[in-house]
Amino acid sequence: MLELHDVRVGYGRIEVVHGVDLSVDRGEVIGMIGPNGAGKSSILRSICGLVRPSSGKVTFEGRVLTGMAPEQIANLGLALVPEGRHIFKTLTVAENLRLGARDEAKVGELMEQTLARFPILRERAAQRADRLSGGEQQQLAIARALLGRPKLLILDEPSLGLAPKMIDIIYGLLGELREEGVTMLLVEQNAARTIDFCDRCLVLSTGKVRAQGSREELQRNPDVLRAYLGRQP
Amino acid sequence: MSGMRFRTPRSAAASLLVPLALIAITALLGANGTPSLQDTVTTILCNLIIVIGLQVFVGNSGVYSFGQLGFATAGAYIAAFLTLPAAFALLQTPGLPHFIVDAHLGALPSILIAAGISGLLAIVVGLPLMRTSTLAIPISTFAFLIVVYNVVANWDRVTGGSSGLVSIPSTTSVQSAALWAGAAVILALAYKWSASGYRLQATREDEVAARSIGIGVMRERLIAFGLSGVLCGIGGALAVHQSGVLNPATFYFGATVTTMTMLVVGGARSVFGATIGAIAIATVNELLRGVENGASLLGAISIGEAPGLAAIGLGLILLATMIAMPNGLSGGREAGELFWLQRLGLSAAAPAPSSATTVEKQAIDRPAKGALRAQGISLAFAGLRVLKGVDLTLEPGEALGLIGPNGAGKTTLVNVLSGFQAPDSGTVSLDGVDVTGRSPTHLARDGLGRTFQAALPFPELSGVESVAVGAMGMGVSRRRAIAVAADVLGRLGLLEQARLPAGALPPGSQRLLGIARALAIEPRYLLLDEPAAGLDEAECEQLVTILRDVLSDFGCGILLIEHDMNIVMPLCSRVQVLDDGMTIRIGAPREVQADPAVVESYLGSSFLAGVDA
Repeated sequence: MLELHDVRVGYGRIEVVHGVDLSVDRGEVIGMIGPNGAGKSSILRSICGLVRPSSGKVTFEGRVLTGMAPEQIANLGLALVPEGRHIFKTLTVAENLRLGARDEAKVGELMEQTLARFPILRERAAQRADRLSGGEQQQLAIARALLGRPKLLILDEPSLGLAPKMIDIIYGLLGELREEGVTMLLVEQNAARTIDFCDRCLVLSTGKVRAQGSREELQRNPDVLRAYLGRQP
Repeated sequence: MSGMRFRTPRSAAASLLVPLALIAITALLGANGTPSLQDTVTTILCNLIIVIGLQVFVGNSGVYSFGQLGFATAGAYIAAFLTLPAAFALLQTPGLPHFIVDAHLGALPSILIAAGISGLLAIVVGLPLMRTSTLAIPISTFAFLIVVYNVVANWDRVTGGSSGLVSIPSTTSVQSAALWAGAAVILALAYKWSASGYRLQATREDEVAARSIGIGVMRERLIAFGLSGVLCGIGGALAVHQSGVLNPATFYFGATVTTMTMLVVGGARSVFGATIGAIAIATVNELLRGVENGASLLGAISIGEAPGLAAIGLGLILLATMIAMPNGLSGGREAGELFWLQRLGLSAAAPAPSSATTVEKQAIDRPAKGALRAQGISLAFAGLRVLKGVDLTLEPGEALGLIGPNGAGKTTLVNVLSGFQAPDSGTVSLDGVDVTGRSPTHLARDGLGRTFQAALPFPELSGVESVAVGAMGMGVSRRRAIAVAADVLGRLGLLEQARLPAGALPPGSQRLLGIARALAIEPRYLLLDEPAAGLDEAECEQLVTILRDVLSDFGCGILLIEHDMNIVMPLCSRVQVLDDGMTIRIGAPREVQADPAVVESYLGSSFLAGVDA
């Protein structure tokens, strides 16, 4: 579904991603973990068209994304839930959700489905988005992305700044989406949780993939994880 | 000393000498030319002074002002009044007081008086205008420009009205204009590199973060506004002494647009940018005007008249620059900061500082007793009650954890404590003094430091500058500010990265830099809002070590909002739990962690499962 081939990303003279390959198949949940500066966010940015790779190729369902504008890529069915949420602060919750929809004919139906899944958002539908708590804002960001019925949901640190219990709630929701077959690409700081949650994880460090595999495969070589992730898992 | 500094002597020299050399070259080309070329070059140099005046305010504050030409108008009229021969004065300005008419000053004193009065006017006008918001200043300054125009155009008996003044003695030469322009460059750079200049630049980079380290935004803007008024007044006075004629439209819309274009095309953030912008645009403008009036290229191809070509050309240049070089031709850099100059050996980047010396602590005089205390704090946003009578006490030398679900009111409480949000009821006291309602700037000077959920770096300032400006906000000398910065950066392990622009650092370093910046005000109390958010696990461990050192070395009290219990538990001696705007538990970390209510509302049962396993 999504293929990255030998993608390199640089800012000015400094290259931060040194040739990364990645493939995500339909229905898969893939995680990327690694220390800050490993290049995780740069890879996401290159997929979504926010930065142009200096070399390499990104394809989605056979179409080359490299060089496309972010909004064109979004219209192909890739939805990014950015780090820091980036909701539309002064609009209401309902307006935020409405803006996420791309299929105008089915807006009502999609809104209903989404609000059923996120009861707190139904309760707060008429409130300004910046009056929501951090956890509620994160739910709103995910819900807004889902309204576009994305083929691939990309999440950049969905647990950032959230209370432990709220992280459980968010991952409960993401788990439901996984059961329904939503394809996801996930970047997180918490390695243990991500390895548990995803079908397959890539361990990145200083711009390269150092290890990858399922939870069982990764747990078989703890030395690699310790080397690149510190104390965990 | 630590060997830490903002720039090398060679870089400073290059930043100063390159613009001066450009002015000298321009002047030399003009001085040896035809009288008409001399006039053109003198005009360019007068405009250059006004553009540098604009740079002082716009470049350092990041706020656009469309009113500065009003000060050029003021300077020009005052210089004209003081030098107009008596016979012409009687005819043109019968309403002018006699002592002014009889002054008959020479060029230099008239310019100095014009500069002084323009500066005073800028301070008086700036007092209300600088109170308006960042977004309102362009509009309110523009309104000022219109007011000046209308006063000058309609006060016929004093200003000669819309027909203006003629026969003003022409005393400005290429040489004198060049000397003044050189002085303007020196003044602008001296201001930019002064403690006050750095404080204003910090407000440009991030207003909220600047207030949190004790910088008075309005005060710093007002200083630059006044200085800008002085320079614009000089430019106006010199210009009128060159042309000999003056009318209300001389320094109005047209001149405002032209000088602003010069500043933006050159790059507003640097004096170098202002210099090259003014010279380059003026040169292009003159060439286009030549073509506009019909000219021949190389004597072969003749071009007919093309009215409006100069204006269209300027517009296109502005547009092209904005698209291709958003920071202008200079990239916002001073000459000494240009890479190619550094590579040629004509300038040098600041060296990575090696080691820091310890600075004597608490040179800032603050009472060393009491605590930070909040009592009965309540606050509602549009009917939504966020805080419902919260008490909090933070002693110097202790670390208090503040935890609770998202939306519990933790950040709002920190905003109340640090003055960013006034409570509806309740009091905040600092070392026994009631400080409820004091501004963030005031509280920072009282010894209250804080960080924010986002790192809020000063992207264009280097790490050293970002931290030193915190100490400068306390009013300490530049030298001491740099020493404090070196000390703090050394403790936080940031020395290596300190000479890079803060915006270029990885997120983890930016967060640490935010803590360093808050420490540079030598706070008695430090409020940290989710310092570990976005840090990886190695960085989190480093953060715990650093905060432990801060507790023991600085002796300040730390209030820590943090969701990562691996950071809260080892650091904090007490933990306070907020839920729905109320304190539900205060106690030792172990007790709080085991409290069923805390688990229910905040930690979640999976946390307990994790602890058991």
